Amino acid sequence: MSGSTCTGQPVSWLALERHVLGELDADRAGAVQAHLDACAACRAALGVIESDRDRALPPLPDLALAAAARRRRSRRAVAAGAVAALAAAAALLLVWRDRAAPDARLVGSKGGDEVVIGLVRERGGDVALDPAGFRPGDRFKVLVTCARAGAATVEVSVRQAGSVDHPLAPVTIRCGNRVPVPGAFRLTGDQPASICASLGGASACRAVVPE
Amino acid sequence: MRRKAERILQNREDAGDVVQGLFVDLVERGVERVELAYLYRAVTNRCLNLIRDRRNRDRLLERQQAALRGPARVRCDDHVIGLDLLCRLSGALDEKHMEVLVCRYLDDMSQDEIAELCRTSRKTVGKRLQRIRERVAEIGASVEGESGGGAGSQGGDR
Repeated sequence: MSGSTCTGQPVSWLALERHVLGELDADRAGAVQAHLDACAACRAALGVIESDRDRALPPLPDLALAAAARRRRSRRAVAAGAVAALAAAAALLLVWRDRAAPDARLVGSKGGDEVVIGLVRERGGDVALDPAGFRPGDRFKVLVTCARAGAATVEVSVRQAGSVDHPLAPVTIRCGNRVPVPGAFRLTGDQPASICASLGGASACRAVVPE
Repeated sequence: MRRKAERILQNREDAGDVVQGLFVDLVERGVERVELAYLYRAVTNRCLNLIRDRRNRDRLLERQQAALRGPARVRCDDHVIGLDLLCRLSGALDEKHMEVLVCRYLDDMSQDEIAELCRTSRKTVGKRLQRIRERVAEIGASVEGESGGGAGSQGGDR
């Protein structure tokens, strides 16, 4: 990093961003420009912004899915009594799934602490939510939905071909809906994999199969 | 927002996660318009939450790319506030002081800008900066004691 010295009070990064976006009023923009003309350190900072403008974040999840998540939350608030029945149904489904296909593991299950796992798969710049399949080298992120109050530690594990891997360090998150677990990992191999998130005594897994 | 998160965390992956997480939350809450200042504070607080958790620190330091810190235009006395010092300070300062620290030494804001952003008085900002300087001096001295001098600032550009 450069250590050049500003000629006075530097133009803050926020002001520089606003200057680049054209959001400053005329007086402030004029003052910023005058400072930039005289100050190499602040011009260097502006250069960082201008050289970085085309690098975009990966696309956000589908807004419709986000809206559906909101609706689910809203329904939960109105019909809290139905949660127990749904949990029981989920448990039955899990038992049925385990009997029908032992390796399929759990899919979006809820444990005692109500943990639901979601996946984001990135393949060559394309992002898929909760995919069922993978190709070697696909990059995955884990989203956790949990209801626990305050902070909670999440551990992510991947079971594949009889072995268990922990691709991410345990991390503390604040529970909510589809909270991204920091970090990402790649899946390799040609065997089905089960990606699990554990939170306290509860865990949920999602199975992905090779495509 | 991504650039700001990268300045604090000094790695692109975690910075991307922080910003994605923020926008996913906003979308899920149905928020369609939000001020840049709000986003700025939200990114700061999410980054500091990551840093505050000891279990994340080693990973963050391991992934650190010092160049993402950007030009160090404001220093705390002689110290450039980088990720290493930020991690150390997170154990010595509360959330409000850490936010002011980031505003001043990573976002390069003036005391007036910080007061406006944090919705507090300039006097309060000044007091917090004084406390921050004291903590930085203490930690800088202890690090120099451990290493025999020369440490405590990041990037080496005094």
